[in-house]
Amino acid sequence: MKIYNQKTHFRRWVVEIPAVVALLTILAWGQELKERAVAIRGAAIETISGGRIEKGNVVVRGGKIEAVGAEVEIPDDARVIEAEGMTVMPGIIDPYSRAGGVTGGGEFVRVADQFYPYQEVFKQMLPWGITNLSITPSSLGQTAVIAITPDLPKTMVINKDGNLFLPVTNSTSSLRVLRDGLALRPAGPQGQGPEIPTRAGRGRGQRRGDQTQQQQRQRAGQRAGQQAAGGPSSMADPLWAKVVKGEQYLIVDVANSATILYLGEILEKYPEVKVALNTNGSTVFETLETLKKFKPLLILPPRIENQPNRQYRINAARIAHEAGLEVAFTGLKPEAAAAMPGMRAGRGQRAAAPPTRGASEVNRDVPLFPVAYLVKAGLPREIALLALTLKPAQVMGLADRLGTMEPQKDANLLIFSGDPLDPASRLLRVMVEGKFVYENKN
Amino acid sequence: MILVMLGLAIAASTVIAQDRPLRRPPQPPQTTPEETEEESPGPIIAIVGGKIYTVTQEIIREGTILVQDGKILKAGQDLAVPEGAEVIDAAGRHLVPGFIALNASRIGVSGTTGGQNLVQDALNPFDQNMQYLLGVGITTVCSSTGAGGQRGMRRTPQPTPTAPEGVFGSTGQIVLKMTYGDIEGMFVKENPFYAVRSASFRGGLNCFNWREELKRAQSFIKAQDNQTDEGEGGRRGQRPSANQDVVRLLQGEAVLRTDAQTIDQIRDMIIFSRSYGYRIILEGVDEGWLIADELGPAGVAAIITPRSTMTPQAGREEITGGTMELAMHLERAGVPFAINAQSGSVSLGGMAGRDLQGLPLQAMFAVSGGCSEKSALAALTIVPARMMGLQDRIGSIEAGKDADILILDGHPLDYKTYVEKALVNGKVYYDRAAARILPVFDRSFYEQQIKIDK
Amino acid sequence: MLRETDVYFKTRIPAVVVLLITLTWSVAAANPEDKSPPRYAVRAGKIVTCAGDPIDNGTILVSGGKIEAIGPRDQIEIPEGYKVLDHREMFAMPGLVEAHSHVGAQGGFNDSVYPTVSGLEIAHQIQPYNDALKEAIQGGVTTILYIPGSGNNLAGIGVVMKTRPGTAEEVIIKNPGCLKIAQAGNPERRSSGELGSGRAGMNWVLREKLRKGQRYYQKWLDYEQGRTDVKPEVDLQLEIFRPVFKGEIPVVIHTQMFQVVMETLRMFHDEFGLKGAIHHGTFDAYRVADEVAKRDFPCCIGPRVTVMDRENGQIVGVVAGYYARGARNLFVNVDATGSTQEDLHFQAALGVRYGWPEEDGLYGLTIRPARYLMVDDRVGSLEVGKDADIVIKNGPVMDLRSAVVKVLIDGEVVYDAAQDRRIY
Repeated sequence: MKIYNQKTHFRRWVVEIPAVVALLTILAWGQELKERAVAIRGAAIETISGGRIEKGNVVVRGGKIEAVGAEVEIPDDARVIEAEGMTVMPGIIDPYSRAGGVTGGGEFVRVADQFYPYQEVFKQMLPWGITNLSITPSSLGQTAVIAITPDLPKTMVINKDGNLFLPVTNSTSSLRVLRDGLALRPAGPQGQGPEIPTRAGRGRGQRRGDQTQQQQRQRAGQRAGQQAAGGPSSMADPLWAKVVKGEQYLIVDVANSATILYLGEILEKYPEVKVALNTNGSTVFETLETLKKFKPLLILPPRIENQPNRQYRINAARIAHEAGLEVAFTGLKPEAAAAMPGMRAGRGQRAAAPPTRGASEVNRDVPLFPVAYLVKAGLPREIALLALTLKPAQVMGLADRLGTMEPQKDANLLIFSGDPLDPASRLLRVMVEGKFVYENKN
Repeated sequence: MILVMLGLAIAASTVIAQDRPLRRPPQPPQTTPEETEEESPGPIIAIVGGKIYTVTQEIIREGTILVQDGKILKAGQDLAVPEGAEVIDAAGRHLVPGFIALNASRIGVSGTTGGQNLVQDALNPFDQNMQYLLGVGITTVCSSTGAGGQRGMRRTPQPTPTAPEGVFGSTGQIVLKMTYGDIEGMFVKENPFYAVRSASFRGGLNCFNWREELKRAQSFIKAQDNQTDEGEGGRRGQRPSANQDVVRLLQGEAVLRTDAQTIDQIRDMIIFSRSYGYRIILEGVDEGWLIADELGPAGVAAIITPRSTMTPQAGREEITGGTMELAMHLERAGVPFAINAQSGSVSLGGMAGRDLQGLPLQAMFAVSGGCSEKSALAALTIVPARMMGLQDRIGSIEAGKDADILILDGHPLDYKTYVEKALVNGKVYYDRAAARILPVFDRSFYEQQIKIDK
Repeated sequence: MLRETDVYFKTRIPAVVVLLITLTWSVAAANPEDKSPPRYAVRAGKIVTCAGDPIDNGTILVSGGKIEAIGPRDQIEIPEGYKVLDHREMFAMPGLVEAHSHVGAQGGFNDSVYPTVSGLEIAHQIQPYNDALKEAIQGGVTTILYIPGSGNNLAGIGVVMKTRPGTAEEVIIKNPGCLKIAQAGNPERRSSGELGSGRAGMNWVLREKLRKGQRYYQKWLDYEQGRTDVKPEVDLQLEIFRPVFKGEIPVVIHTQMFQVVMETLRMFHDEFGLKGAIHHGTFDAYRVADEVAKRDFPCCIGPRVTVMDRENGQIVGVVAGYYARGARNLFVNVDATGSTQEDLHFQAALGVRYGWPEEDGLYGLTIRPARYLMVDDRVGSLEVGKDADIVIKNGPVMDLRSAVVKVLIDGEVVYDAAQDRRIY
């Protein structure tokens, strides 16, 4: 509007350039509508959902997978990638990432509000074949899911309203956030904290007549009540409601084995609740019996670990799988935890330990080497592949978009020179949302 | 001589028997309707053929213990093993109640405690120390939630007062069972004692403050009584304030546990307890052997560390300091005593026998000092149980008690003896062969192998 | 004094009494040699001689501080004038021998100005019958090797002494008793950068010193054997190496952890061929025990009793670890610096608890350390002609429930639980 009003003051190019830009934009948009397909021809395909296709084609268009199969026809307009002898699989999804350094510290941290896409760390994920991350805060909060598209920073976040995340340790102040949250107990008004349900409350031998202890407990209740269920209830409460109904996974980071026993006791009463537990192998080994009872999905580092207090080695993913537990892998790429500036503990809570990373930089070309190791050590191959792809997608509630090679899903895929779990084969290309974002030029 | 001994034993046992529970027995937990549903009794475990040291009653030779739902169903000779029972063969084995350690420090607790953080939420049943304790037969600990003290072999008498005046706060303790890997059944009781650091009573000013504290509590109780007389309409607002721990102490619901080493310190504690009528448990009592006759009538119970003796006090003409024979003197005077290890923590540095794992060794030292084996065993089991008011649950092998039972490969007070299995709440939480935290070897094989080169 | 007393007596008391008293007094004063140790006949239910089979219902005759006779009761006549110590319900055993102790005096056993101080003699600071030794007696310990600490690589000369009362000259039974060396651990406390504070430096310093000592010994040997007429100059810093290389006194080598213990074996056994022993040898050093066994090198294990195997979290008994790998010349120490010397039998008992055969443990408390210290002609077992160092216990020797009730050292009762106050 202004331009026309002050027309006389401008030289001609001032008008022309925006016009050209607008025209180009429209053209580009039109181009995209009828974008050329990309076809990968003759590759072995790990579909995840429908087994392995020894030789088939994948057609991608408009950022989505258009068709997958042995008999799929390649459209005439397609740009064809000859992939004979190669293997295509869905991009790897990390369900528990601290990449990008989202800090905790507040009452409730919404990752999407703090997310800063212009960081080298995301680009560094691509050589490992990681295409999506669920970014977790370091204290109570909400995760956000991103697709690693460094060229399109503004649209990296594909789900701003991710899961409820909670670090838990074996202390009253930490456990009560979970207890109150699951009981959908609102943050109590000042000075009238809700009764703290503890083991002692229902256990034996707690003296009711014990005045000092009762007073102590009341005081504790008051103090804790002020921060019950994680502060601003408007933000946490709807998420707790979803968790209790089983509509969304609750992602929990446990500080130690003891905490899992407390979780087991608390979750006994909420069979609907679906929990994804970020933990490690020795903890799983120690608490397997309890885990079998409340059946969380385990988020584990893909590596051989030690038995607690021993140097005997264990394959925790296999142990968990054989016990009937679902597994998702995290931390395939080594340094994500280290690149976390300013992580600090939330109020009254121990900082959740950064996930320990098992792989090393040498795995860059063969990112699935640690997973192959676990498979060699008895973890079924299909379970390992699920743990890299579909299981994390399920945790994020995005199984309809990510995690398998199926039509209409996001075209996030990896091309390996051979079997992805063969140390001799290398990761050649990474596609995210239909575009190749990484090519192995070595 | 035998008669005298018998008399002493009876005297001792009556003193112990008169021990009323130091706190009221726990009230039944408030149960929800679901929980009150009668559960059908669980499977029975039968431990067959062992020599049973019941501690409170006679030794049962080749006896059987039946365990169900975490409790001892029956113990005796010639008990029929019910069909379908899981049988643990204990032929040639010695069965004793699980040992109780009164001075553990932060065993089985890992989370933050204090303030709003309750100890019940901070348990860590994966504390590996619990396994090492089960390995020496400790099934219950009274664990301080803070750091614990250490007793050297020889200690010099404690010097001048150190506590700030008027600090009579109890140091927090928690009674836990060594249910390694299970939270269920681990927590037993909080604050079994009103435990006050001995420094709080040292020096004139502190003693004055303590007396004032006691007087306040007395008037509080008086006001409370008046109020109940006057019914609900009483003058509620007029109740004087007092330290509730001290009130419970004077009402006989709590017992004061503190350190006293020298004769003077012990006598101070006795005078206070007598004039205000409360019960005391004294730790250390190094010079107690010199005034053992005064301790019995004063109702003192003692917690001693036999190996740790106090050096004589410099510049004193009379006999001072400790002796290895302390336990013997206490036993003769009918003073109930429990035994502490030299330290409250588990040490794996290799200086074996000096840490909490050395608890049974301390009982052996007591015997070496002339105390009877019966009393030494009681000092690891029933006496500490009584001190904590848990005599109905732990400390002996009797029907109805918790099935905390050790299966030993030798006499409980033999230094070569190993715990083969330890049951806590009726479940085997330690099996020497499976746990492999202590060496497993066949001693007789070794002894045959040996060719002494003189 | 005497005169005053006499006056007092003369004025107040009948003359006969005075006479009698003065007579006895003067006899006692005039014949100090009559103060010779009393003669005893010790009866015990079981005598653990540590020299052959135990004797049931035995008698030991003690005279002049030595064992005059020992045998079953029916074979030994108790002559006139022997005081009978009747312990027919109890056990008798030789006094325990500690081959690694710092309580011959209280404190002051580290002079670590230089990395090696081979001229220093700890014998000069002995305090006989000090508080720690009194307690040691209550634990049955009658002989100790009192040595300097391990603050530097070569800390000086130790002395073998009895724990009984007496002058330093009376209690010392061998001086020089040993050469004290520290090959790992404590010398590393020295400021870093100082020579001998690291392992390489330590070994360099030790080897250099030993070579110097060896040359010195050789020079004297050549002179003594007439191969040369040049009398070597006396060097007080090296004098100790003459008995060391002659094999007259042992070397005490503070060493631990398997790498260092291996180095000890190489340097002291293989290279210099010295009579020594691995002292401490704890942590995981038992893993090279087969190398120890090959050389039959003595090991004086302690004060750490156990080590946790990091691989599987299992507690391993250190002595048992050596024993299981074939090492047989094993004994224990408590490395007493404060008042723990009395725990020697406790140390052995814990070794037994974790797998050391009990009988072997007995020898490890008595004859083996005596032999290592080369004083087995005097102590370490109950045999005729040896010092009458006898411990009476009211139960099995190693059992922690039993207590020492009487101790004789050099034929004299130095502790009697019935009269003396029991501290331990």
